[in-house]
Amino acid sequence: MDDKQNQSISVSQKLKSSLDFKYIMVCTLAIFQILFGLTQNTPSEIIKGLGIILTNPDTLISDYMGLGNLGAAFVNSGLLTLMFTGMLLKMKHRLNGVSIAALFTIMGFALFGKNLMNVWFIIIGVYLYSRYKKEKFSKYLIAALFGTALAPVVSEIMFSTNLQYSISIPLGMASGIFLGFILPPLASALINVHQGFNLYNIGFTAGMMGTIYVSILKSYGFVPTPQFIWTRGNNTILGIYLAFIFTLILLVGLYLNGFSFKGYGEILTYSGRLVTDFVQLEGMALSMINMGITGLITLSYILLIKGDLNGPTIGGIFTIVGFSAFGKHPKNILPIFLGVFLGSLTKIFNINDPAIQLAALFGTALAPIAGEFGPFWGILAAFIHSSVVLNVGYLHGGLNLYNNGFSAGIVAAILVPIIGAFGKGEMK
Amino acid sequence: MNQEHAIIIKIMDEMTSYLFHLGAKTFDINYKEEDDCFMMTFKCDYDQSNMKLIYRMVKYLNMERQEEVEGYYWELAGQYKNDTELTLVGMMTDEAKVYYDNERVEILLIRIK
Repeated sequence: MDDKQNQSISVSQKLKSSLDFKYIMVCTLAIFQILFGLTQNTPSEIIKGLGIILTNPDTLISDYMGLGNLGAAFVNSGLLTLMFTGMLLKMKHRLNGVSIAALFTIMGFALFGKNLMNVWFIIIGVYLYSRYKKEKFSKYLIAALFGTALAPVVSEIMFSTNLQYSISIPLGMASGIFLGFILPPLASALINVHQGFNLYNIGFTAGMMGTIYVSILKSYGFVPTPQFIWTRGNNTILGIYLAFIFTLILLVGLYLNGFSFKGYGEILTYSGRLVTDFVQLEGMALSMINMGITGLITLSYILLIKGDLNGPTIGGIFTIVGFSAFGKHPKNILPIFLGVFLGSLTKIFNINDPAIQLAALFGTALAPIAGEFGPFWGILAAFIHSSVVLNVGYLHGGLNLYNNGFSAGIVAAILVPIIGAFGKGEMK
Repeated sequence: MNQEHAIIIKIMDEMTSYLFHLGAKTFDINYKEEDDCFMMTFKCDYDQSNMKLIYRMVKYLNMERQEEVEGYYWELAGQYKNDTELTLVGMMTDEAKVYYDNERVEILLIRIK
């Protein structure tokens, strides 16, 4: 080539990011969870609460702050996050946007469904699948981390059936392992259905699997019983704690970015569709700024609508914060909140009904639709989602913790081709 | 067809889409399997008004190989015509070299087995 300008990229030149710092950040937050928990209850109350959490069914919606107690819920969250972080560290995994999203999702869902006992059988199942395929477990790491959405199946079978423990406990373990075993190929295949416009793909996959699984269980007379344990009245203490956490993340991000928002506008230009890894694309500093901002916005949203800060809603908030390293930003999540809000004005539910609070928080799985096609379509997607999500939980009997991801997958699968047909599906 | 070949097809699909996006009227694609890697070369002309897209391509291909992302998301490559999917190509390749002048662009991708 004449007058050739050339630009070459080699692996060694690829993004330099601190391995240790990202791990330190996640571990610090996990330790904050434990310390906060320890300030809320006495150690004996926490141990007793953990015992209850670990030995009870936890289908949707089981707020661990109500099932056990506030301290036990946060200690469960912190310990589980530390364990998974340790697992990734042992695997010498380099934390990136998706693994940060997964760890925050676990941290959040450990307040209402994932606990120190029930998640590991799914992980073992995915591990066995990797052995079966003669491939490294790391290749299926993401499916394993997010796949813990199906953990309630384990607890449900162990503790909710009329079977004796000598049968129900091995059966629960075997069910979790089996579901983990078949999850990776299904998750990869079903991602095509929504073309990456649903950020919670495992939720969609687990919803489909749960639907079939529960159908079979029902035909043998076993009917999973969804629960409704939802705590209220802790907004002040939890609001202060969360505001502290998100402000801290924001300040550390600003510190790493030279105390400026320089470059942050670039994050807002991404649609957020899978795979948009902000940590890789824009660096950890801007990712943390984004995580802090979306955390504070989401916390403000719940408080503004007079919602409740509890296990499920904080789970939703942490999930948004985590995915703010992997696709979400204020520009693509605000249309989702607005769509759910508009739905509440015209439909039979209120904006601060529990299911609708969760629909707004977890409905941000559809943020890429707003990011790619504009706010109008994002609002419409959320408007539809807030209805669909109320009807799909029945199909899997509450055994899929990512119920909103299931609904979002259905909405995206239907809506995206329609948007494309109207000529909006062109590459930007 | 094994999964490696399926992934190569996805990468080529994604890259071909992007060449059209750059305004390519003619292009050559070359593929070669070595003992330890797969090599893909893409050569094309491009519309100079799309220079920004060249810079973006360099940025998106500038990703570390990430097996865990590849293992889970590889099916998405080449599926929807959005340029950020190039990040997925970056995550499924070990080395990327982009050469360009005022008329043509040449991209070399290497995926180690």
